[in-house]
Amino acid sequence: MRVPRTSWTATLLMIRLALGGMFITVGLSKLMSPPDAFSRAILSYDLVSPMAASLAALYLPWLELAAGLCVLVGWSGRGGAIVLSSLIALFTVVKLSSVVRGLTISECGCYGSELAWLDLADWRGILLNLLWLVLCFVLVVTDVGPWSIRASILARNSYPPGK
Amino acid sequence: MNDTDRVVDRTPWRIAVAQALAICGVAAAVAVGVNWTELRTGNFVPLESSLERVGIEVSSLLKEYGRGRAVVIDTRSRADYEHGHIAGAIHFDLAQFPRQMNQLSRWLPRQQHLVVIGIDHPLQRFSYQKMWHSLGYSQVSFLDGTIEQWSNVDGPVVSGWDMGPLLEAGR
Repeated sequence: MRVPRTSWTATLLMIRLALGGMFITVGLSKLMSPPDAFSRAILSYDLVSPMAASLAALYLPWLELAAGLCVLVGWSGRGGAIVLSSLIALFTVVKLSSVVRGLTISECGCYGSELAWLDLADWRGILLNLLWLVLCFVLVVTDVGPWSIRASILARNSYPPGK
Repeated sequence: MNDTDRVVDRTPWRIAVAQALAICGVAAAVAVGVNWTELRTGNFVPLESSLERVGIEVSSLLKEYGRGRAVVIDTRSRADYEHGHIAGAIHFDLAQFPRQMNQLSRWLPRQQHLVVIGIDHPLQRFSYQKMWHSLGYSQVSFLDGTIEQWSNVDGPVVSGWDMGPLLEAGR
């Protein structure tokens, strides 16, 4: 079994901080915004009905928050990374469809009000999403690493302790 | 911490997938719990979102009109209508909604796309759209623009009162 190096472990932690921190911020931002704001952003892509957009707007922020927390603290982190990868892949496909159909969408609605400067619904937004997707895949493939709650629990339960 | 950190096995795939499903489930449970009242009463569809869908731009109306798919309902005052209206538009007095609809529904096919002019307030649009829906007209839009904008895109505008033949047809 390969022993993880500190530099790689630190890299994994940085990825988790970036991804988890971003999704927690985004989720909280959407939850604290008027409920209509996110559903309007979803509707502007002209893919779903108002009811489906509203249901998605009620659900997605909580999903982002939950998955972001799991990735950040490193508990159920691999599962959280799978959820985040699926979400980012979905958002990328939606953005791609809007670019292909030539829709003019000023704000993609993905990042909430706190990170609105990242709200890009054009090719730059798709490239940014692909970057997030690569980071997510790293966590999906390698798991969250030793600096995590999961690793602490495993270490406490191992015998002799600390191994 | 040195180069040989603790060895930690990766979470097996099937457990990781189970974790992902559990996260989705927990998020769904929290979302339902927090929004339970709205979901139970059906008020979770934000009004503004629904309303934005009922507006139609002048350019879109021109396309629908050109294909003969839109029937324009003009709810402005009779004076405004006589001053200038979209050719073929039906003058509709909102104060006499039941009587006017009774006449219109005798000859106006339910599958027609109704485009209403003169109702700008979102709540008014919402309530009138529901009334038309209840009468069987499922496609109802409200023009986001003016007669001037319509004529600017070369939409046909006529003046005077040309409702006589249509009202006769409804009798």
